[in-house]
Amino acid sequence: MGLLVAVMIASACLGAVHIRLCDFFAIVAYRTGVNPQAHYQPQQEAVLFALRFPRVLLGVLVGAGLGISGASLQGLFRNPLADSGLIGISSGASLFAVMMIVLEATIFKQLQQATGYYALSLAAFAGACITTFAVYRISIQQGRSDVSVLLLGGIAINALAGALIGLMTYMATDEQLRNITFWNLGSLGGATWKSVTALSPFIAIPVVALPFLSKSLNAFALGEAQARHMGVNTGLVKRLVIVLATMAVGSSVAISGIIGFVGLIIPHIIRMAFGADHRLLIPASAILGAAVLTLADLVSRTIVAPAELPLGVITALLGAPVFIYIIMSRKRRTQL
Amino acid sequence: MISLNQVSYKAGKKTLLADINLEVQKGEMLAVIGANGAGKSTLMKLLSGDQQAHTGEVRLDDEHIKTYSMAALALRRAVLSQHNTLSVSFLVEEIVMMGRYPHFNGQPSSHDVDIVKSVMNETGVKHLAGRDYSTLSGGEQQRVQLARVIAQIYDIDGAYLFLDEPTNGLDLLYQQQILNTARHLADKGFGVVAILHDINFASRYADRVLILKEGRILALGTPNEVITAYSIQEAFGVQMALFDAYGCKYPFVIPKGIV
Repeated sequence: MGLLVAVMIASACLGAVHIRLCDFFAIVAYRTGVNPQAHYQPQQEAVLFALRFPRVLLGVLVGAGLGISGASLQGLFRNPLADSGLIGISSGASLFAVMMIVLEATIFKQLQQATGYYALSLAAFAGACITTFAVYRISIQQGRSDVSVLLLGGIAINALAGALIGLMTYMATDEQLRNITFWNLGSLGGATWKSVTALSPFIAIPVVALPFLSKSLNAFALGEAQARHMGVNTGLVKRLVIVLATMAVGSSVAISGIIGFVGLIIPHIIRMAFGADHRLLIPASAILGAAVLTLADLVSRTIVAPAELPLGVITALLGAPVFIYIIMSRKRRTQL
Repeated sequence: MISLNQVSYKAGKKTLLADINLEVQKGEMLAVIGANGAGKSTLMKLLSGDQQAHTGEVRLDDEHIKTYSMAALALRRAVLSQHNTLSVSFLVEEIVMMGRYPHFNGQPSSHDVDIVKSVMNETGVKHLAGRDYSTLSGGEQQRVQLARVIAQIYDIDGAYLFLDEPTNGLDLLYQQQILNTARHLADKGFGVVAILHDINFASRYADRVLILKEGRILALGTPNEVITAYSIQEAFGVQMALFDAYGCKYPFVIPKGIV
């Protein structure tokens, strides 16, 4: 928690316009009414409030959403490799966003007229919901959804979405291709107060609700039948986790594009440090996810300033070596 | 009491169980034996409320088993399944505490903590409490799982315990320890149903033995009534020699050969 606050403040202060820590507190004190006098330059305040704060908050929201969804999906699927990509959330969002960019079809045009700037986000969110629902439908047998069928369904739908994305890419013009690439690499560059407000309920609800499912997810670790024997309403837990995770990831992807590795790795780090109990894992993954994503965004916009590296590149560059380290150290531990 | 009245169960068109009439009393240990595919596991799923019978009815303490919610069932019976693999690793004491999950929201009470301690003592896994489950041997893992399911119903009078091949893959000592624990629970007033492969263990530990053949009850009664050369040959297709070993009041069988 302290780490998150530190990263948030650092991220708010650093960038093309540097804001010293004392100025930061002066601005905050003035705006919150603690200090009636303003001891800073107005330009700094503008940067802080119009640019940095929304961006930092967006990073916190997206990171928390990705982290908490990753932790609960890994618990639900009893698979430490599970993440939101596995059940089609990301690929569905990608497909719809790419279709929107390339096809420029009438329905999308109408959507664009109606919702303006948010059309792409809405399309992506709808895509995430549609594919996840399709995967879930495939998995239902005799009124019960089977986790292994759910994963197979996810693979099938992902392949289908991948093929259609490939087709769109083939049809795309050069400029559209560039748009697609940037969208697929993820960025918090579109942060505004408006997007932060739009996203916050979609993240807040899962972040509040998912910790209530942690005991059930612990029971899931023993097996689905075992969880049922222990009185867990497995069908309900499954539906809730999927809906909440789709909500968090679908809306994050819709605003910031695809940001890989956060949902996969954050829960692993927490598990290595504090054990596998979901009562700790789920909230801790939200906090660490938020801190890591904010930090990664700070790196992405300062390392080649004034230009920006795509955020997805940074998370993958940081995430992949960490993941390899986790695999290696687990291998060593089981050998002993 | 759990009672099955004219129960049958089908998977697709195949009948897995037919015309089953059975009562399981509190305080008794019932062993279920039979060849592979005879319907032992299906019977256990019906008894534990995991699956619903297609015809006939299953009653748990005079109520139709369908009327129990998952959470209510968890307070009446515990089930030790055959395969217990963990997706992520937990400590042994955390796993045994999971048995108490139906009893608390949020944090366990001191009562739950006490029960976990006594159960771990009784099942001989106390010294493993702080160990990582994935580093245990097969026999130790099975005993931890047994401790978990016992913890679930430990303080509930007249609850039921279902054990699906609890001694599978264990050595002689662990087999005895697990069946001893089960026997002990039955003596304390729990209803225990165990699927067993070893006829001699069934004979030694159970009050009653149920032999299933192709989804029907072949024989049901005390070990002395039920375990005969004829019934075993009928159920398994193996010729058996029946001994009345010295100092052993239970029937004792060894195979002579395939029919």
